[in-house]
Formats: sequence, C-alpha cells, structure tokens
Amino acid sequence: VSDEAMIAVARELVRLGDGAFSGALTDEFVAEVGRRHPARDLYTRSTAEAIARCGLQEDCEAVAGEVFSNFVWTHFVSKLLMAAAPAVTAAFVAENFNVSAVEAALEAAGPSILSCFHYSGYPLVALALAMSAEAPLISKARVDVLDRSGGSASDHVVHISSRSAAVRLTRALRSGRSVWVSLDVVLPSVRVVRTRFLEHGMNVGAGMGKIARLSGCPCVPVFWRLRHGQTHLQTAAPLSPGREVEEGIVHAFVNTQAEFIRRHPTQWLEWYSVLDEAPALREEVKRGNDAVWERLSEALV
Amino acid sequence: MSREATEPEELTYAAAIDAIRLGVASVREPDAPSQEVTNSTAFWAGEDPDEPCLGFDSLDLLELVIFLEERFGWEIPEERIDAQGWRTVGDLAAVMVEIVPASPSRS
Repeated sequence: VSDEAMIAVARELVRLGDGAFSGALTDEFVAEVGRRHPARDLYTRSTAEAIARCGLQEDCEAVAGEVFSNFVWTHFVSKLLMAAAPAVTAAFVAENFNVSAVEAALEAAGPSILSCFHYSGYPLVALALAMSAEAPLISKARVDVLDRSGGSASDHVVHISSRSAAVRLTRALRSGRSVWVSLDVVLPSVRVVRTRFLEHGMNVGAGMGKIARLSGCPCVPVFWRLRHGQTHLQTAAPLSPGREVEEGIVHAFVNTQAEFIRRHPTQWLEWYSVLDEAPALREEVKRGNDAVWERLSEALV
Repeated sequence: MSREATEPEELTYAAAIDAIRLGVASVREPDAPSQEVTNSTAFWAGEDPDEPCLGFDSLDLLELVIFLEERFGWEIPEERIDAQGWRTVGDLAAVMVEIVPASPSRS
C-alpha cells in the first residue's frame, strides 16, 4: 500500500470532523500508520521489555501492542485533528474530556503543579486544561500542534527547552496560576532524579521538586484512562513541597503514577523510560514520528 | 527646617556583580569547590572550553533569579533571561543595571 492510501484516509478523517476520534476508519488509520512507523518494532520491543522488567503479571507483548496503538492514536489521530481541524477538536474535547475533578482539586488546594506521565491522548488533555477555567500554564517538551491550536499560545504554553521555563512556571505559581508539568520525558541535559518505579530504577525530571519548594505550591497528581475518545480526569491527594529535600515530592509523585500504571498499563506511552537506553530510544521514536508526519503533512494541505 | 534633596541612587555595575556573586554562592551546594566569580565568568558552557564557567542549568538559573528577586527585589523580565546576549555574570549585571529602577533607599 502506498503512502497515498494513508494520506487519503487521513484526509477522510479530517473531513469526518468530530466523528474521526474513534470508529472503523480511525482504527484503519491507526493500523496503517502503525505498519508504516519506522520505529514500530523498536517501540513495541522496548515497551514489552520495560513491562517485563517492572514485574507486571501481564502478557507483555500484547500490552506493548496496545500501548503502541494508543501511541499512534495520540501522535497521529489527535494531533492530525488538532492541526487540521482545531475548532472541531476544541469542541470535541470540551464535550468528551471531563476536567471537573482537576478544577475541584485546584479549588481546594490553590495554585498547584498539576503533574502526570504521558498517557494516551495527552495532547488533548493538555488542550482541555488550557481551555478550562483554571487555564494552567502548560509546559511542553517540544513545539507541536498545541502551540498552534489555541490562539495566543505564548499565554498558556512554555517550552522546557527554554532556559527561562522554570522561572516562568515558578512565577506563574507565585502569582496564583497553576501549571502543568510532566516528568517522564527527560530531554538531554535536563537534571534528573533517580526514582524507583514499580521496583525498577527510572530517571525523571528534577525540576518539579525545585519549583515546588521555591513556589511553596503543592503537586496535584493527575491520571486518566482514555476510552473511545472520552475520559474523566482523576487526581490524587496533593503532595506538599519539601522545605529542604526537594526530591521527596518527586519520589512521592512517581509512586502515585506507578500505582495507576500498574492497574492500567496500556495507558502509559513512555514505558521505555525505565530502560537505561531511554534517551536513545526516545530519539529514535521521535525520528520515526517525524518521518511519518512528513508524509502525512500532505493531508493537511 | 529645610531638607536637603537627595538624588535617587542608581544600581552600579559593580554592585550588581556583588549581588550576583552572593546569589551564585547561595545556589551552589555547600560542599562545592569554591570558584572565583568575575564579570567574565559564564553561566553555562560555550564554545571555548577554557572559558571559566559555573556550569549552570535552568534550575540553577531559577534559584539565582528567585534569590535576586527575594533578596533585592530585582525582577528580571522573562524575555531577557533567554536572550542569547547574556551568558556571563557581567552580561547579567548589565541587564540588572538597565532594568533596576533608581532607588533612594539603596545602599
């Protein structure tokens, strides 16, 4: 099957509008992109290995296959629609992504660091939060469609590659605005904390601990399980910042995510973070994403 | 009784360097080896491997910025933090001299 077939399905999805987030055509698109993704074998093999190392009593290869489908859906269905049909996507998210638990948690805790791992559909969850009454400042590893889907992106997005990112996040908290950060995708040269995740060592970003201490704001752990394009966000009890030991809040946060992932292993897209070669794997997967996007971009014109 | 008019005192470059030096000391781990901090000391590594460098990352920078805010009330605009123009202690001191308003109470 040529790229033309994949591009044609992508165009059809864009035409479908809010019906494109799930259904037979969506499944066909996910399968087609998955077959063509240059890093598919690497991703699924690494994911299965990571799941096995963490001791989950699951069929590791079957779970890894489902994780990969969720990964493709997240990176190509949701982002395709965010880029090609931003208004439709925003309306879909407002209808199907329930953030009331997060809003209630923030009302009780005050300005907080909302934090989660990268779960299925995370760009849409970020969009849902950006559109919520709380409108947290959202930190992102890379520039992508979210930056172009909501008007003045600089008002609600900060890129962690910027040297001023941590300053901006801390200032937002000190001025009463919540922020959103994810710790499981660690970019090169970022300071890390070595944590225990499901009894396995894993590096996560260290910034949240320092931002929490300097702002005095708690971390509110967030989770969700995406099913048929719908989700209710959940939160755990706020974690207080350490006055002296910044890493404590990071360890406590990772424990909350581990417990959720143990119960819902197909939702986490970054399983290979537990492997020592995670940075190289992440780079290879990103190259694969970029290659597929280069072909798919024809569907956006 | 007449009062003598006093000129608002402006932040000097040397005073800004001293303040940044204090901030760097507060960011550093207590057991870190001491390092001379001058106006030409870089915050992060550049192309010249022989250039004196503090080896800061974005979190060290955050601590320094918050220190300067809390201790002296000097708030660096975000758009000036990421500027390619300042890499050294002296560059930051120059920004401080530019942005910090003259104050009658500064000593």
